[in-house]
Amino acid sequence: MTGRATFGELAAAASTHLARAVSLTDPVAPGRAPAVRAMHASEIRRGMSRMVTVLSRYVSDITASYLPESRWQIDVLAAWSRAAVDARRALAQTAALLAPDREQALAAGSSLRRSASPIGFELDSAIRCMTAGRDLLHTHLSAEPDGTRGYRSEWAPVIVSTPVTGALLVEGAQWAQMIASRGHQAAQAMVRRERDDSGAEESFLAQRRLILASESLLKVHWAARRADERQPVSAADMRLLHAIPANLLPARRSPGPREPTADLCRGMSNCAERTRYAARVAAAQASWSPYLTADSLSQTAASATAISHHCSIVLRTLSARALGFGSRSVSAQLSQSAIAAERAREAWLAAARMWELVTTETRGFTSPAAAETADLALWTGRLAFADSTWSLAHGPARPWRAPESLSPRFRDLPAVVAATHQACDALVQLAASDHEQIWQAVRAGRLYSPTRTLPEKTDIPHPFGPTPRSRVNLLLDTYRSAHQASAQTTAAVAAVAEAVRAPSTILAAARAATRATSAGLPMDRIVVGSVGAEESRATVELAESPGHFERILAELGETDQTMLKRAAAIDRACEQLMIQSARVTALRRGLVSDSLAARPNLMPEAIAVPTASREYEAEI
Amino acid sequence: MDAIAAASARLERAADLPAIIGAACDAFEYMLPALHEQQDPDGGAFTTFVMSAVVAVRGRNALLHAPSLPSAVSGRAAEGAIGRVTALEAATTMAALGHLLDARLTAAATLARTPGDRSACLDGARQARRLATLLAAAAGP
Repeated sequence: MTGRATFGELAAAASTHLARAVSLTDPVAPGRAPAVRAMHASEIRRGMSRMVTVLSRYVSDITASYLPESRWQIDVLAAWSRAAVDARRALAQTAALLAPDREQALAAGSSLRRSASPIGFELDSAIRCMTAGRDLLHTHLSAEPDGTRGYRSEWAPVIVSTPVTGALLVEGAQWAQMIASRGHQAAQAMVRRERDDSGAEESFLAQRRLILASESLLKVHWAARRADERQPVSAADMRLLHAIPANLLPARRSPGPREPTADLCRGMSNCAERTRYAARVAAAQASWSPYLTADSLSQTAASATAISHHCSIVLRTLSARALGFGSRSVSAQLSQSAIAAERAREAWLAAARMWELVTTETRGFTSPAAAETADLALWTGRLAFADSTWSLAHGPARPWRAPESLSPRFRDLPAVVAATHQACDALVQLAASDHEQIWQAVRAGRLYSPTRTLPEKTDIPHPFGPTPRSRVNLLLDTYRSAHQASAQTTAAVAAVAEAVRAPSTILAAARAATRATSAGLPMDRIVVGSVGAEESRATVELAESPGHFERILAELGETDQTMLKRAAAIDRACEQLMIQSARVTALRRGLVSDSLAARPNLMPEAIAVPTASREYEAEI
Repeated sequence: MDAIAAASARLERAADLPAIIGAACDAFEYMLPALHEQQDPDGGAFTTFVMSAVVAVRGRNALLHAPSLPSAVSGRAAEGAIGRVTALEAATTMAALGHLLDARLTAAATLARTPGDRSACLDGARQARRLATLLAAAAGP
């Protein structure tokens, strides 16, 4: 689907090499020169030792955040967590048993030489593939200064999810079983050899170590098997693990004129991935990024409106085509998806119109996310409309692409569904990211409204004033609606993808796995796309912007909504106290009459926004 | 399109920098309801009118930052009377207004004495130019 190397390709290559290593004739069979047999036996043990090292690293990645010490701590772990702990111990035992062989190889410098025997060659090749597989997974993760793992891509939460962790342990256990099998074979050959060989005692010890190491390796297999019985790893989970690609963002490009439908679908999928990446980065950098501007957010919302519109057209066209193929159920599903896309279009249009009433103090910067979203609008438009040179500036009544052109044969339908699925999923991530950015802007007091759009009673002698609380809440609600509508569209299209076995089914599986509990690695603070996180923020009663104490708590990293609400209430009480005190003071000084002092707060919203007030004082 | 026509006339009559800036700001503002009217998914130019609204808002906001913006303009935006017009008529009319905005704001930038006014006029002109291009394409050949 991505055109990049995947973990599955490397895992399959490792398994192939291991299978060959198991099936090859034992080079340590009798009749061979003793020196040759000794060398080959050493290569097998060295290969096993190196393989155990690689497997240990895989398991250590999973158990990095928890190392239970007591029995009861182990007992309370979930099935696959416990399997990982047991596997780690078994691998440590195996490594200890093979330590003399490793040290011997290091001393002789043979660890750096290529293996001479075919079995050694296959083992070396398997090790390289397994190492490359782990490196591939690590392209999605980073090491943070505080020692936690950071997410570098949308696949990172999938890698640390329980289903994929279980699948990874199953894969590792299969490798361990194959290596153990090879070790047993080598150990048996050593038994035959010692009858006619000198140095029998040394050989006997090596053989014993090899047998014990092989048995210890089998514990890894049995640990995974026990966990699989309690919490089975499905074929879908294995497919998801194998589908994880290397973390390489596709290159940015625009659609060319008269590009075939298949290329348009591929380009659209790549652009959707870039858009999701840009959205995630924008959310992560929201607190300081100069790209957090009304210009960026309004353009993004407008482009998202266009994308939803184009997706609805594509889905309706596909629905007609599916009916032409005689597939009524798929046609009905596509029709339902189109309706959902139209609702998403309306939600995004509402979000775009909110930026006519709200702006930010920073302007002129357009974010990478806005640029990528505009690209995606162009790609989706090229797929939806018949004009092969269609652009966003094209005018009225451009005909839709004909159903036969969109999907000439039934087997072409999955690719178009997959591309549309990718685009819809990108909108979900975009809505979550933009909501996060707006939230950060609210906390920083960065939202303003043109005075001409504020209520009549607002008396602000400047072109812009602080955005009223009601409008901020409306803005956030609008983005929540856009997120919800986009998520519903994506779910509907995912169901179609499942029905027609589109390659994008892996996307739905990845999202489902991400929602599963993380098995080992600590969850990063960024959870873009989490509706739960957005809803918890939605319930916080906003001041016009965070007050003094609420801001302090936020800067200290407080996320407990109850604490933040208490801080906000303290801020409001302080504001009321100051207002009351100001009135009383003014009365005492005879500056105002009783009637004026009794009026409701003048410019209540400005006073309720200490930060904005200070800014306006500076302006005067 | 009465409000659009009135905005065009006022922009043509504007003699000095504050008047031009004020008229241009209001012109961008008055286009918004007209653009909303044309954001019909079945209308064929839906995407164009959605994008045009973003550009119109940028133009308005650019001029709101101009120091020479008349204080009277900071009041409530007048509700224009938008008649029933086709997408083609709306695109043609507003594209013409976009061209006029571009011309007047570019000229006004040469009259500006402060950097704030100059950048506001140039930014506004740029947005007007973009708006005119979008809507002219929507109007077709």
